[in-house]
Amino acid sequence: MGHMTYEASKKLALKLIILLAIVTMVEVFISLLGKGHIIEGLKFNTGLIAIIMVIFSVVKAYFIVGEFMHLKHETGGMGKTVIIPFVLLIWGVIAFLGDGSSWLKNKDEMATLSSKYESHKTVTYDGKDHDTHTKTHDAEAHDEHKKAKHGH
Amino acid sequence: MSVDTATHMDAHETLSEVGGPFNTGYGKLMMWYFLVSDAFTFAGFLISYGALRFSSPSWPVPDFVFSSFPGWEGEHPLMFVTLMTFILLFSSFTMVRAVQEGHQENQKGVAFWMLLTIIGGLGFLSCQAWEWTKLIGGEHTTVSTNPFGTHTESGRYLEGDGHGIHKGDTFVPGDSYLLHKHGEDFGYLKYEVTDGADKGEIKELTKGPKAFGALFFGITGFHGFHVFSGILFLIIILVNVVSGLYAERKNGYEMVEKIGLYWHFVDLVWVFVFLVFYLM
Repeated sequence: MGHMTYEASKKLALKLIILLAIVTMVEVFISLLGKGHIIEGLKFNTGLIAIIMVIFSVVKAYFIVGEFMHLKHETGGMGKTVIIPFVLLIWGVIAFLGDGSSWLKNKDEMATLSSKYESHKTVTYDGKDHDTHTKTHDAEAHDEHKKAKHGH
Repeated sequence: MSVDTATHMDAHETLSEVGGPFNTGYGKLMMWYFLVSDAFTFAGFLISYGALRFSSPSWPVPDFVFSSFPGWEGEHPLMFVTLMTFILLFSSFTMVRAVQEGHQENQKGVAFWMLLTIIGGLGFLSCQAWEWTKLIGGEHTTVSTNPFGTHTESGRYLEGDGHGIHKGDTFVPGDSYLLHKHGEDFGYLKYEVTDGADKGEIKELTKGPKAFGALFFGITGFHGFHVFSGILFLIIILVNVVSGLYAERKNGYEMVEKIGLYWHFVDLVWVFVFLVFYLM
């Protein structure tokens, strides 16, 4: 907005705020629609809602950072030194939303698997370590036998 | 204009006169990099929120938790937080206008639009305070107690809670519930499971995931703290504008631009908090 006339800059600012307000209203409408608040029973896939919402928010971010904060009109690579970390951060947030979902799936799978395993379990435990005790005992007996037989 | 153009930068000559890395003033460049570092902090919080929230099957549904509107009876999911978003977006617009008036060296214009920005910021904080009061005072949510939950199995309530739930009401996975406090502790309603592996069992409602309160109050509190400090700085700089300090400076109203960057950042963070907490 620095190279435009005063009047043109004012008009652009007004246009942008109206655009941002409209995008927000559409975002909220789609979110409520996808959760069944507007049409009873209608339900979008959670992942689909997430992707649409993220796209809308990135559009808003583009106009806030590029125009309101004037980053698009800054000289040289300054814009890039700011935008690249921002974009990577947004990618990070999105990635961990997916991670959370896969943890949930893993929990479900583990629950199913462990419930299958439970039905075969007949273990009782009396506190003694039976296997090692028997093995040592047999080994001792074997050595004793060897000694007796060979005299050393 | 009555100012001496030899000692004041013309708005259109700003870039070539400034010099330095990226031809940007030191203060503006440092403000940008502070904002990048702040973005990392917020991203860290949002990442932990996102991962925990999607890994929990009983996480409270936002449209259920956030459906009150001051003075408007009934359930109005997300309407109040949408209003808060509009207030903050509008205050960003007034900030842009203040910076534009600064380029025109219009002292009165800068003061007017900055005042509107401060009013917008105070409006947002008031709304956030109302939201917190409702959750803490009304619903008894704290950083370690969360009375909001979501059902993960189908069932039928065996008792009512005197609010919205009656004996015999049924629910399916995905339906939300709110525990109400009666005296010392919450009312953990009994219900019978009507489907799935635990069919026929009698269970009690439990509190929802503990992390909800800590994350909600922590993140919105941290953001609210940024709004609050932004308002303080805006007031200080407004006083400076009115006193004529910036009209005397070689870089004119650049200070207004710098605090404008901070304010837009606060708005930008809210866009993503709004997205992650309420829309998804």
